[in-house]
Amino acid sequence: MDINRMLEIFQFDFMIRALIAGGVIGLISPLIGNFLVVRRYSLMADTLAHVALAGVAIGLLTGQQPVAVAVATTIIAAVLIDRLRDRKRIYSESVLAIFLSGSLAIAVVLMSVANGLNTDLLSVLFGSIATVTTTDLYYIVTLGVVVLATIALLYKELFLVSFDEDIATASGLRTRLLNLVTVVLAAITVALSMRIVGVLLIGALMVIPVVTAMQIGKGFRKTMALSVILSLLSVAIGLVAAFYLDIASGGSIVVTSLIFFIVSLILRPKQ
Amino acid sequence: MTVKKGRNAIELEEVSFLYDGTLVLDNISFTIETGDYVGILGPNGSGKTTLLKIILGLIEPAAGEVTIFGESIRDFKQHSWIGFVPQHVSVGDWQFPATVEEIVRSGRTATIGLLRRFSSTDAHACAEAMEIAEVSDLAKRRIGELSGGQRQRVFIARALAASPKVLILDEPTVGVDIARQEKFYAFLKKLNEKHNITIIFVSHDIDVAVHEAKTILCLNKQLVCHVASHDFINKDFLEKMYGTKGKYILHGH
Repeated sequence: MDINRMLEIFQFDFMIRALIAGGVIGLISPLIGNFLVVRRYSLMADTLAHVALAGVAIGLLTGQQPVAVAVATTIIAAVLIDRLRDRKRIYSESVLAIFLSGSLAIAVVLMSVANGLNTDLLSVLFGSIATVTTTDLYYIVTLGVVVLATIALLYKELFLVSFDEDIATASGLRTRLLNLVTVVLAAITVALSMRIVGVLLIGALMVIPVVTAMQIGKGFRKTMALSVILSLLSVAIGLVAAFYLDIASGGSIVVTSLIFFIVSLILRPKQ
Repeated sequence: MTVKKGRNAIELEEVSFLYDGTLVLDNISFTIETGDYVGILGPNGSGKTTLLKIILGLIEPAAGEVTIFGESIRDFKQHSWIGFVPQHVSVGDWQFPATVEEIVRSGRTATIGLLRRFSSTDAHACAEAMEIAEVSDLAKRRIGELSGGQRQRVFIARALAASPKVLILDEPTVGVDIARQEKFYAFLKKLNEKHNITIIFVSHDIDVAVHEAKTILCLNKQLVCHVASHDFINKDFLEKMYGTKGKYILHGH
């Protein structure tokens, strides 16, 4: 491949937008993913992603900006999930199952009504580098900064709540509020990631780099840092592959992160 | 705010707790003085853990009053005074990726306060806590790589990092072998005597509790006894607590 062909990637505005969006998403997804994984909330990301799809459908049907509607819908669902999990008579994974399939059903119904079961849907499901608009980018960067700042400012509190809720409550932390913050941040991240990674694959980007980093990382901070590096590498390699090979970006990103995971399993020191 | 000498650490007055309509704690009243070393005994389902949760403010009693260092628990804000080591820390599969140092540092979270950073004072407190709990050499290890007993000491170091006046432990030696249990209780005794920390632990092991603690509280939904441990060796209490005669034989160490 000659150098001109290699630089071609930067000649397209849509590709620049995809790379910026991918950078933000690659950064925040594993950060919030760390807190979800250690709390055994891994399926939360997937569930919220399906809710985001319903949000997109509502956006299409009402003619509103899909990312904005998806963010709003996902936050509302996250709060509802958080409340329902507190009820003793429903298993928390059942709550996730209900929201996951329920919102998928709502999305399908709405999209059928809007006559929108088309290629647009495919790009929402599996990600596409060509669909990130300037407006999307505005949302992604602004809310990405909000997510990043919240995690940075509340790091020690989020750490303690993730480590042991009873200890956190006993030491005077507002555990319920911090749980809510965690799911809301996850909701925002999921909704923002939809364009690049796709609804069906965002859960993977929040979980796989984290689990990979956990195999190797010594300590929580180091695991977090490593998961971000792995995620950014996956996004970069995946986006470039999507551009040159003309494949869905979500697929190439997640397959790359999966390769890192398999390598980490092979390299992991036996205990 | 400082502790006045002789002030009681914890007072419960006619505390009751219901779980799903069933009475779990029935009209419990007792006082724990500062500097005491208390073993709370009781069979499974006697409400021991519920009692701890009430003292820690994790759950609210249905009735009654809890007072911590002279203040109603609802107004008590000196959370760092009460250190807590939960049940089952020494058993189970620990995938949590944090190092010992990170976990001990988390003991300072409430003391540091929201939006503030870890300072050299905090680092000093953590180093001292790790020294006391004898886990300094484990600082960079991941919590999941440690033995049950080591993990137990890390949790205590975490609690000590906040310089607590009271240390509450729920079934601290489950999964810890006998030889290490003795060492562990010797360590608790040192915390109590040398560092003047009031210690409250829950146990189902009558033998160990009576041998180690200064005061024994027996629980079976109601408060069955509250005595100095050397006065405990009395089968009446065991009968009341367990409702059977002569089945429990004390087999001193």
